Amino acid sequence: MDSWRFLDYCSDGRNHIHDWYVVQDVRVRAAFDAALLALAAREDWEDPKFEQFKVLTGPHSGLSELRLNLELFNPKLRKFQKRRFRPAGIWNKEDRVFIFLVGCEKSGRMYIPANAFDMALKRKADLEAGIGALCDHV
Amino acid sequence: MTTFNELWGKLAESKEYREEFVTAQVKRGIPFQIATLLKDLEISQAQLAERSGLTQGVISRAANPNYGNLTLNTLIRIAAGFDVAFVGKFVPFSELGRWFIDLSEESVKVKPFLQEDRERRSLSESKASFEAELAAHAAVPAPLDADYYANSISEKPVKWNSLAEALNYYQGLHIHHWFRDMPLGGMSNSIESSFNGGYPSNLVNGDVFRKHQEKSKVRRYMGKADSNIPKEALRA
Repeated sequence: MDSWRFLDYCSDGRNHIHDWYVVQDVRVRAAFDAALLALAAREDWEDPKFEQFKVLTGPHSGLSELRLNLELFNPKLRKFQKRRFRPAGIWNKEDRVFIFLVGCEKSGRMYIPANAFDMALKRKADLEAGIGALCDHV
Repeated sequence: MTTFNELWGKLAESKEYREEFVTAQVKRGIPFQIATLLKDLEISQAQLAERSGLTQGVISRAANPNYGNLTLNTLIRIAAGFDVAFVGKFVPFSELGRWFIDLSEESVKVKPFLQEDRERRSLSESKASFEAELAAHAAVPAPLDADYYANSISEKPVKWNSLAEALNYYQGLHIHHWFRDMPLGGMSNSIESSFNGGYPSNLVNGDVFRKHQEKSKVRRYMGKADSNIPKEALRA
């Protein structure tokens, strides 16, 4: 079975996911990259035991989120610290593609950026209206 | 899709990146394999817990990359539960990179010992029966051409020390047969060498073959069959 492919939504000459990715700490970038490689290899994302992916409902219906809890080593504190990332996008099961619309971190009950899912919905609507383009996530 | 070179470029970015990538491999790669094996071997977390001597909660956390801090003891017990080996070793980053790039559920599937053992036994049994069959055929060669074999095959019983030797023999028979029916003018050094090379010497004693050899020598020394022979040799 083919592995999953990740795509980024780009508009106004910018890759929004890449812009979010490059400002993250190097350890976050490494853990995020490794998490995506492992996710791409996972065949069945609908398995109820598979907790790294969720199809959103309610006001954010039509979107899906990746639920990546990364344990990052903090050299100053000499211990691992947990951080939760919730990048949102469009899940296309037939083509085995996940389109990133927005990068997002969850801290407590807050999302960073706070309007991440509304932004994702707007980008989804733009994409469906033919605004913007998709490129491979690197 | 990430290529190896793209990943290598990121690994070369900084030591911190590499450190975190290794952490992620252990924390995500191992749970990924545990989840894949549970699915492939069709056993539940509770069954694996029982076989491993662990609780179902421990297995659940071990199979979920978002939780848990797997200890070596837990991994060893899980390996025992699956009846597979666990190899923890230090490797260069190129190996880690390739592992990640080629990662798929298929690539991490492992056979439990009993299944592996069954397959090995069945393979060696079929190999032994094939060898026995070959040996039985070799003891009494089928007379493809009675007159020809009466002249060409020695009376000595033929025994094979290995499968490869037996296969060589049958290959040799085929070439010999074809060679016998060939017009002399078409013979070349390469055919001769392949013939002699793959053929037991006790079969190269038939009248027909000797006749071919002698005629061939005459033609060669006359310079008709092989133009590669040096003129000095022809004169001699």
